[in-house]
This record gives sequence, structure tokens and C-alpha cells, in this order.
Amino acid sequence: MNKRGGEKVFSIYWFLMFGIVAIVVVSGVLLFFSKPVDVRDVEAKILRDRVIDCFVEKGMLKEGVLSSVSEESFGELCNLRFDDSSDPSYGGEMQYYIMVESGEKTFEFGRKDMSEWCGQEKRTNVPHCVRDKLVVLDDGDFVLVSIDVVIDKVEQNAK
Amino acid sequence: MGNKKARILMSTVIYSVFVIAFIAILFIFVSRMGSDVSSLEKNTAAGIALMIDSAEPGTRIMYNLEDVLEESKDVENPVRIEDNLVIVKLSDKSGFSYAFFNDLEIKYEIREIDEMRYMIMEVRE
Repeated sequence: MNKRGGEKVFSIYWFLMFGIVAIVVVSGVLLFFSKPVDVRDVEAKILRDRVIDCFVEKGMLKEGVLSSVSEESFGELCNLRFDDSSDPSYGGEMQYYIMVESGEKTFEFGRKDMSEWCGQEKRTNVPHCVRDKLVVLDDGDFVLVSIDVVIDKVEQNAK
Repeated sequence: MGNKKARILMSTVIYSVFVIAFIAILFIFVSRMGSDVSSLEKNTAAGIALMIDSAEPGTRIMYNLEDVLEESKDVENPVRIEDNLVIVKLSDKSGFSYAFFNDLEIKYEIREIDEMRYMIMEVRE
């Protein structure tokens, strides 16, 4: 057997192996760090909790809150503000949608067209929706309260 | 025989140097990718904004900025809060801001504690 020929084949094999390892590591790292960090799920859940704290107290729906609150008074009532000038591409457009429903009473705030994005959580470059339901007391009766929170901010989270 | 031993030693040394250099290059590449300034700016701005969003009146937040401020290149106030925006700008060519929805007054300062720089925020009604 020609040992020299065997050594050359051995070297080629090792270079090929190192090349494959390098390609795998570089590809994996580039794939990992190129994926944008999306904080909208956490942000939407925090907003959901803030809205619940605003409408519900000690397990009871605040008296008349769903009937009396309006889009104009919502921010002041719940100590929230929704103006966003962080990205020029937003052009001052509202980046939030909130819906609170209890029986026949419904309160909506923000960009209502964003409600259609609920149920499409598998897609990342679209507004992000968080849905929740909770049972609270209203006038001595248990009622189901549904809450939807949708956050757009796609440019800052998914692109 | 001596020549054969020397050849084996030489090939082993060359191979070892090659492997070490290969690992070092990969390590440097991964480290550089991990300390990318733009992702640091984004993570910091969004992280601070979310902390403010979840804070109740009377909350005091201490955010460790040492790693972030080490990357800033001669920028005045690289991390600041203006109106409802958290702005992180570590160089003249980069920057990221993220809005928070908590409509409370935020007082903040950057202070050094135990040789580490922190952003100390007070959330007031």
C-alpha cells in the first residue's frame, strides 16, 4: 500500500471535515443573530394585565366601567398613553388595539382593523395578538370577560 | 527512523496549530456577532421600556448599564428617556428608541454603584 497516497487522502478528508464544521457553525450563528428579537408578546401581556387591573378590582368588574369608558377617556382612566414616535415609518399611526367584552357590552380602543390579526400567531411579520378570558363578578353574577390586545410595531420587532 | 519521528512530530504540531487557529477564528467570529451594537441598543431600549410598562407608581428600578455603556463611543447621554421614549444611542451612526405606554412620570439618573453603572428610575404618579 502506498502510505504517502493514503496520507494525502487522509488530509483532504480532514480539511473537508473542518470546512463542513466551519460552514455549519457560521450558518448557525448567522441564522441565530439575524433573527430579530420580538418583545411584543411580553408587551401585549403587560398591557393586557394593566387593562384588567383598570377594569377589574378584587375579582369584580368595576361598576359601570364598560358603559362609561370611551376612547377619549380610556387613557386617562387607566394611566396609559399610546402615542409612538419611536419609528418614523409609523407616521403617527396608532400601534395598539384593545377590545374588552363582557356579555353584550364591548369596549374597543385603537386601530380596529388590527383585530383581524388575532388567531394568526404563527406568522411573525404581522401585528401580534394576545387573547384572554377571565371570570369576574358583576352585580353578584359571574360573567365572562374577554380581552384582546394587539400590538403592531412590526418594523421594530419582526423586520 | 529519526527522520520518520521528526516527520510525525512536525505533522502533529502543524495539525495542532491548525486546529487551535480554527477554533480561535470561530470563537472570535461568534464573539463579534454576539456584541453587535445594534442588537445591544434594541435589547436595552426594549428591556427598559417593558420594565417601565410593568411598573406601578412608587416603583424604583435599577438597570445595570455597564455592558451597554462600555460599547458607547463618545456619545453624550447614550441611554436616556424622553417623553415616553427610551432612547439608546451608542454611536453617531446607530440608535434605537422604543415607546412605553405607562403614562406615569419617570425620574431617572445614571449612577455608579460598586464600580458598576446603573440606570435608576423612579416611577411616580
